[in-house]
Amino acid sequence: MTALAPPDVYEGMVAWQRARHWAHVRLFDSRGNTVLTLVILAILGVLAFTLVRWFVAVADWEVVRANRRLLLVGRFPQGEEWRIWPMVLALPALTALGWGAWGQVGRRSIAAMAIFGVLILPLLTSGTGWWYVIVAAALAFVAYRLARWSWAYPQAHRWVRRCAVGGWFLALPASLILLLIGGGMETTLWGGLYLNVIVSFAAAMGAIPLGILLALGRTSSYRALRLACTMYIELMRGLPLVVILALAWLALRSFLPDLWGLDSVDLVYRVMIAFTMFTGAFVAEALRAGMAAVPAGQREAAAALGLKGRQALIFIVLPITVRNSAPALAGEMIGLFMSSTLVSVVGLTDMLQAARATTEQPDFFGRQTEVLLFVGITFWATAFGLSRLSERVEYALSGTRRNR
Amino acid sequence: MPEATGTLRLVRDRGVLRVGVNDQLPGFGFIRPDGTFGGFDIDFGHALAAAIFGDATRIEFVAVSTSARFSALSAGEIDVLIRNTTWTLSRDASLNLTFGVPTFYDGQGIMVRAADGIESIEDLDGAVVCALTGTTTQMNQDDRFAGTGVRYQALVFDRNETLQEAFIAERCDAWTSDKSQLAARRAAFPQRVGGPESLVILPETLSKEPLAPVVRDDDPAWADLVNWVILGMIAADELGVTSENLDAMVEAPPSQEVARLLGVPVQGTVFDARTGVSVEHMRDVIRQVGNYGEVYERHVTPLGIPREGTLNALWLDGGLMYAPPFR
Amino acid sequence: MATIASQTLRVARDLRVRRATFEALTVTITAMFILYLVQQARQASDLDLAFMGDRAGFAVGDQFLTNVDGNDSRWAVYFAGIMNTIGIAVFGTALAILIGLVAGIARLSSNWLAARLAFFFVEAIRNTPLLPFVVFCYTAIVLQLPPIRDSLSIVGVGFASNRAIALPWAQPTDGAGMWALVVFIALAIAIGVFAALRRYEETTGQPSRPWRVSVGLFAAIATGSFFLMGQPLRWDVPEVSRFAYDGGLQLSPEFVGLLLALALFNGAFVAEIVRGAIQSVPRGEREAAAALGFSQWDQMRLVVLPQALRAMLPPLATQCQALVKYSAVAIAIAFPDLMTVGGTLINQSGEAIPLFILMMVTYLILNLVIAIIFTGPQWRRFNLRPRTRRI
Repeated sequence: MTALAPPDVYEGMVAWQRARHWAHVRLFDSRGNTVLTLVILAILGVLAFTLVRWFVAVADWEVVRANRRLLLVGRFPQGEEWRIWPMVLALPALTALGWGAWGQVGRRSIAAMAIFGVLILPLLTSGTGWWYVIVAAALAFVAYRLARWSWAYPQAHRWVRRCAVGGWFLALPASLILLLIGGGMETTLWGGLYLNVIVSFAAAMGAIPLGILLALGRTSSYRALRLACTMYIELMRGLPLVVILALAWLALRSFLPDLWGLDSVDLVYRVMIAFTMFTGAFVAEALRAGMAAVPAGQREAAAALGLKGRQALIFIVLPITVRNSAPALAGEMIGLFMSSTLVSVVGLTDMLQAARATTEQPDFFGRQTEVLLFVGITFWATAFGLSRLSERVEYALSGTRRNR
Repeated sequence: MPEATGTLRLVRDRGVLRVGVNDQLPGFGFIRPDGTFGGFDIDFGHALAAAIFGDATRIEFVAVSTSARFSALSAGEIDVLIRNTTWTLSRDASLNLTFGVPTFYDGQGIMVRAADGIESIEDLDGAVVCALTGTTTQMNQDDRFAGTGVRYQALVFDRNETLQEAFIAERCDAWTSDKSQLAARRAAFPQRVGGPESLVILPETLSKEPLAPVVRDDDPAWADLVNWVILGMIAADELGVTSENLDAMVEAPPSQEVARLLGVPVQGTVFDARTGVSVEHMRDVIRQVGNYGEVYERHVTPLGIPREGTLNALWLDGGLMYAPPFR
Repeated sequence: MATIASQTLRVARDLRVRRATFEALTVTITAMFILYLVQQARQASDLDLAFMGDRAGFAVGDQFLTNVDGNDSRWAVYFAGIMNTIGIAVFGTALAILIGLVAGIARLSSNWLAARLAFFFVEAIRNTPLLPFVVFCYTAIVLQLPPIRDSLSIVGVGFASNRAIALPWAQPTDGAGMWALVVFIALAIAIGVFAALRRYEETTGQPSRPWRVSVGLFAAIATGSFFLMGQPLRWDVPEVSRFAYDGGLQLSPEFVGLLLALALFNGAFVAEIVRGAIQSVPRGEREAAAALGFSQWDQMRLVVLPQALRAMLPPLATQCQALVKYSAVAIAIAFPDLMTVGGTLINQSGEAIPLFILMMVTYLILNLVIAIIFTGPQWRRFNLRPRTRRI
């Protein structure tokens, strides 16, 4: 193969010659491209100038610093933080473990994290916060090293992967239990970024089983079942999430039966139900597409091996389906985390709501841009990290070594 | 503690009172950076909690938007709504809600920039007027402007902070709301964008806005309790009982009415109106929260709205604050 | 006895019977569930929409092709909300497709800078939540335009300020309706001529230039009648007055902010759709076209794009539906869309459940209309159905 590789055009060139050659080929190879490059450079220059001037001269991040607690945990009572810290420590560690178990942190990811860390951390840390951040970072590092080390030992590596997956599945129940034990926290006090995380986490846990059932129902050979599932999916996909949330908020109680206190269930749980119902429909569609892409030969082979319909479904079709639709599923989950900011529409104090409320404090009138940017960057970084992680897992799941 | 039924029982079993409030109105209901609520309306919530549990902190505030407050109350999300809400006939009659004693008498006003030279509503022909959604403001404004033939463009926001951004950017020429709110906004208007002097509140009052607590109308006993805690605070103001002289007043009540208010035995018998809470509940209210005047002083006076000469003064001083007799 | 038992067993084991039973069971459970929902809804409300006929009592600030005020009925105000949502959907989709095409093609560009920029744009948008983005676009971009007295001039004929973006616009005068009718008839004639010429071309092989003839015919009738009927449209240039602009086409900051946010947001997703669609066309198709001597433009127009379109339209329909759904966040920046107006009506009337049902039905109908527009029979000649693989 190597014999067929193109000759190295850079051979014998010094660095600046290489750069010039690269620029010539990639930026200025034709008149049209030269014009395009110059126009883009001009636009970028203006943008960069505006942004830098704003960051240096106008921006005042005091509003974020003063309200960091409100933004992260909302109106969570002082002295009850122990219910949150374990999760704050565990989530980076789990992410790092997963990352290490399925891939490797590239140079770019490190650079991105470093930039993000430099930008964000000073705003969030002072006093006790510092220690937790350091401990969280240290834990994440140890988890990552452990996962990388395990590659050398297949048995250990398998266990690390199991732990990573199991950890994610345990994280939600654990965090809910931590919130509720020992007298518990009233759900109206859950807030800030933590609320976004918990709501999207719970909805993800509920939406995947619901989506599998709906996808199976929609592809079933029973006409009535197919029709019912199709109606449900299309209804959910046809409505804005805002409307569904508003329904869950204002009207769902009229529809819940008067059993086991179901009709007086707290708003946070109702919002979780709404998110689950909504996301479930999208998960079902993603899975259906993945199911359609299962080669017919797989089912035929299963039948030839004597597997019954249900066995073939569980052992052959579903695993391939999940593998096929993993990218779409990851996209849905990231979308879910993003749309969790919509809970502010129904009056929960999530991170976005907390951010918008800060402009009511006399000291910070009209500082909405800074807080909104902060919220945007936080969500962006989390989503970006998650999507990178999901790419690693997809890549590992695909079982092939093909180039991406 | 006496037996309770209905909402009161529900609240007691839950161990905490749920109050729907505003989270973005300086002086009346807002969130401090540490996450706690503060304000005039908030203190009435605390007073209610003090009356029910003897502990003003056994309370949970639910920030509700203007557009969702009634639904939240009807849905049982909250036990009582104390959120600068105007008492109107249609709300009282058609929403299955009951309004209590007004805690604040307000009126809708219009705030403009001083530099624009606007002196009356007639000067606003063709102007853009900002308001919050889901309020009586929108209807009053339409009545008044359409009635005088003044054309206007309504710009209706769901959150106050966005409205304020728009007003600062001069997206709108006028800001209409209750006068107390406008005064609060004006007092806190940042120097960076002109400070309070750059704004003028027009003398015209578009409407009557009695702001009152709201409860569901299926539980009259609960409504009574909410009312009489507020009336008790007004009576305490009238009788001169404050959080400072409370102990002295309990020790030696200057009048029979004070004794009845505070649950002090008179000739061996204690006045018990059977409202479902302890006879001494007003002591907790006044010790932990204060009387009406103290609450007003604490939250509204700093906004630049003095009490003297307004509708919110005691009836003795020519205002509308009047408590029926405690007997 | 034994025979009856085994008979029963056989019937029970019969696949058809089991299937029929299961189907019946599903139908029953679903029907009961729906009945239960209806029952609960009836308990909470009388489900009567008569209150929508009452006077609205509040005005809608921003209106797209409607003209209602507080004295109109609630239906009229609700309709104005629907029209606003439709307006945002139409312009938002058009802009999003434009942005998406540019960014999608740029991502495949040989120019490194263009490809990188498009990549960063797509990644930045796709990982940002919509609601903060909408609020940001409104408060940090559109509201930062100067106030009306310092209006920016747009090439001397239009203005931009945070009061409105005002552009010159053709204002209809007397007889505009008549002229519109004539133009409509001209359009119908042009389409007919186009179809006839095209069929002629296809059957006889004689080149007859259907495009040029029909467009020329349409332009001739439209301009001819325009001058014959005494110029029923007047060129209206906006002027600055005290609180607003007079005349012209005025776009409110709320509309512009929402449009900007939705167009950028959906544009990033459209870019991915476009990129995927172009990449899905096998390279051999284009190479074959090049080998046959097609020009670059014809390769794109006749070979790549029709096939890319086939892959593009279904996801574009989904994206446009998503745009309509996303537009429900308009309430955050005071744009009176369907959701905002519906919310005000709920608050004002207290009739939550009927209004929710009404709003849900409205959104579903809008979705259906979009699906028909993007994937209806009019696209059949592009052979949208997935190709079946034959060995």
